[in-house]
Amino acid sequence: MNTGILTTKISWREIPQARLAIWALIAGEFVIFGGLIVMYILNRMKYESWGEMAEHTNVIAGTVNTLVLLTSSYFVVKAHEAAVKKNARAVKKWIWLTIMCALIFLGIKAYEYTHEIMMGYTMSSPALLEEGKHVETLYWSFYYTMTGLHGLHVIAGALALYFVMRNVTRTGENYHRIEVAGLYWHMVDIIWIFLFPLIYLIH
Amino acid sequence: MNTQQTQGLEHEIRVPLENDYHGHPNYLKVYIILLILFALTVFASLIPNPLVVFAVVFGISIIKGTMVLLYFMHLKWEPNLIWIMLVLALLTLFFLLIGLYPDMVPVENYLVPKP
Repeated sequence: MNTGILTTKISWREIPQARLAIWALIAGEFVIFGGLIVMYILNRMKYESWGEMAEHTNVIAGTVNTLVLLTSSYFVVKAHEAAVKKNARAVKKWIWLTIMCALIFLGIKAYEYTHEIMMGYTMSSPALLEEGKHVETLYWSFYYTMTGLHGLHVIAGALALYFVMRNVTRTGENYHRIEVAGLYWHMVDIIWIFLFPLIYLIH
Repeated sequence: MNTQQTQGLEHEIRVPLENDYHGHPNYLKVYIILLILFALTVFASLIPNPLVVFAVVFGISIIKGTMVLLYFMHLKWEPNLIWIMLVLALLTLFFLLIGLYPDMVPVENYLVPKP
């Protein structure tokens, strides 16, 4: 039986199923990252030494990355605008620009990680543990967990955008998927909007 | 329901993409406002008091996040169901914060006499 493409059906309350599904996923992601952010804030209130550890993060790299992600969100909405007009050429252009932003973001993050690991700031830093600074290693555990999990979402978002864009440009159909993948990308941006000041700016 | 009927129904309930939308807000304007708020965040971090920095910077982040949700993600035009899902997610976080606060942040216990 031909059931068609499920994601183009209208679901309960007149919302296309794909959009409803991605919003449910986004709500779940907000709880996951929000939980980490809440725990980070509470620990930050408890341990003053976390402020000293935050001084060792690369603020310039974090600032550039924030700028890159904000810009990528703008590119995604332009791709969505082009998708509504069914302009595959413009969709391709804006999505490639977004993917470029994702690669820049990941490159800068890799540079940061390399620098921090070389300086000895890891989840189980022997130098910190020898000095009895267990609380300080907890800061780096949170740092790598939150930014690492976010980085995985950046990779997933970029891959989703690439495959959706490839399908749209090859078939000339399924333009609505650009919006769905775009919503996921915006979620990645929103999470970074909160992670950036917490991790890099509040010392 | 036979195959023919099912296919007919699918055709009727398919969403015409161009009719699904209310239009697009001025994305460039939203983007520029986000950049200004981002610059404010960076400058606010120069305030010497960490508590003030936290309040200002986190406040700006909430405004930025809300703008992305409302205009870039079109939440402003979404039906109530989507809003309910997000509010439930935020309520979960609020209760997590309230529930864990006494465990994480030292609070004087008035019930236990001081030695």
